[in-house]
Amino acid sequence: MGDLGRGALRLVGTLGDIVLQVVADLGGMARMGARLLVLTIRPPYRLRNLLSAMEAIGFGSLSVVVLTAFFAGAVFSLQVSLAFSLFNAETLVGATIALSMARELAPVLTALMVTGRAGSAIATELGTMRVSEQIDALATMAVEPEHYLLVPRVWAGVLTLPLLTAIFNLVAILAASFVAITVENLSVAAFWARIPSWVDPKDVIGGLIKSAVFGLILSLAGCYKGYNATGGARGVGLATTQAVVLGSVLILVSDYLLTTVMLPWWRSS
Amino acid sequence: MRRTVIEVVGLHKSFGPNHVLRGLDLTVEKGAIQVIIGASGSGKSVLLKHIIGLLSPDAGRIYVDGEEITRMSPREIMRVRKKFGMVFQTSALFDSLTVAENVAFPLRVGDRQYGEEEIRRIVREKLALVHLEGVEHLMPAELSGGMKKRVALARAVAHDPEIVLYDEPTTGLDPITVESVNDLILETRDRLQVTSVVISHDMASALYIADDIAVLKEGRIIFRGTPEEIQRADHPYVRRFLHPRAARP
Repeated sequence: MGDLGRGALRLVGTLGDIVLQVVADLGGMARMGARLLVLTIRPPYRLRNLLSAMEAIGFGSLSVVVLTAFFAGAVFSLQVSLAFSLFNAETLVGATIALSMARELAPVLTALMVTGRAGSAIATELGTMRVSEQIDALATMAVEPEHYLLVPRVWAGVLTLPLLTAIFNLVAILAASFVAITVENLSVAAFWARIPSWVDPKDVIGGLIKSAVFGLILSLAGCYKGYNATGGARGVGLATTQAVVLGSVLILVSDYLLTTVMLPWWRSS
Repeated sequence: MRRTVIEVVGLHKSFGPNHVLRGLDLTVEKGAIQVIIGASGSGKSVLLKHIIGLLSPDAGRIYVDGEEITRMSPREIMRVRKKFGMVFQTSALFDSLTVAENVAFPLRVGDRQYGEEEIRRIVREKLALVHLEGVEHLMPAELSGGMKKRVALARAVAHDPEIVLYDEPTTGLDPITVESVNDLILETRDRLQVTSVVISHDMASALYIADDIAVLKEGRIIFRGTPEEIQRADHPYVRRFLHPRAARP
């Protein structure tokens, strides 16, 4: 077998390993998700832990989400204004941006930014607790670590992402209108006029539902990788990287699937 | 004769191809300081994690106060764990909580509801027991290794357990701190009347604190006796632990 053949074989082997790892991760995450669902209904209910996790994910990610929203809205506004001006459709700029933001860009960009910031933080914190025996210490005190540590974090992800996405929507459309009006010389009326007729509450709600699913994915990926971290500082670093990659990939894949499911609903009047 | 509180019968545990525990038998008497001594990788920590139900054996049985924990559901094991306090080799203090919050933690998550004033009193009392005062507000990262061990001990006994497990309590400490940790183990047993299980590879400490020493090698207890019996033993492995240089060919 020549070098080319061996190289191709190695490539196939590597791809196979990646597929197997992703399948194993999906299975592990599904098992953990099911277990956390059971633990959620079991007392004690630790509201303080939930609020603390929501603060870490939500408030902690607010600045990066606002910054991303501002520039995403501003750049999108420049591009759409330029493109639409070519065929005198400037009055559709606001509606197009609002619709794209509500259905796709706000949930996906928010989730990706929060994965980078909070999903990685969850994996690092839990991984450090695992390798420094803090999770074992919890268990020796007759506390179920999954109940105490994971349930609040996963629910915080589910509950916080829609709030952050709503803020993203608001900031992005304001930034887009600011750029369209001040840079591209669109009138206020031209920008905003078509938005109420083009953007239905269902578009916004669909986007928020997506973001709740993304919140579940990113927090579950962080919890799964961090909780199962092994091997000291290197293991924690690896778990953090894997949590971000796994979370981001699953968010992008699930976005396609969710959009496919929601499109008929969005199209119906 | 004292009552047996922990009984381990024919314990086996493997991790992949690595057969760590190979039919281990052990009994621990109430109120005793039982030291289990062995080389690194001999299965000491694995044994300790089985006793508190953090690991399940491949074969064998473990009884705590006459109850077989190896057949228990996770919920039942939680109930039995309330009898234990554990001091980890790494101290395992919660690094996001202060010293006071760490010591108070078992009280806040336990079944009994404590008032805030009562929790503050117990925290002060347990920190005084380990000769630490005025450190309540410090974070674990601000403590020395010896202080972390003391706080870990205060946390382990905060809820007045019946049994305290020590995982390599003197590893990585300077000789003076080792002495003070050993004294604390004795003092804790005497003042709180707890049963103590200490795993270690430090024979000098074992001889100082133990009522009974079990020597672990390749997953089995190969010798057992009081510190005096250990010192008189002519078992070659035990003698290597006692006199590591003299035993070399």
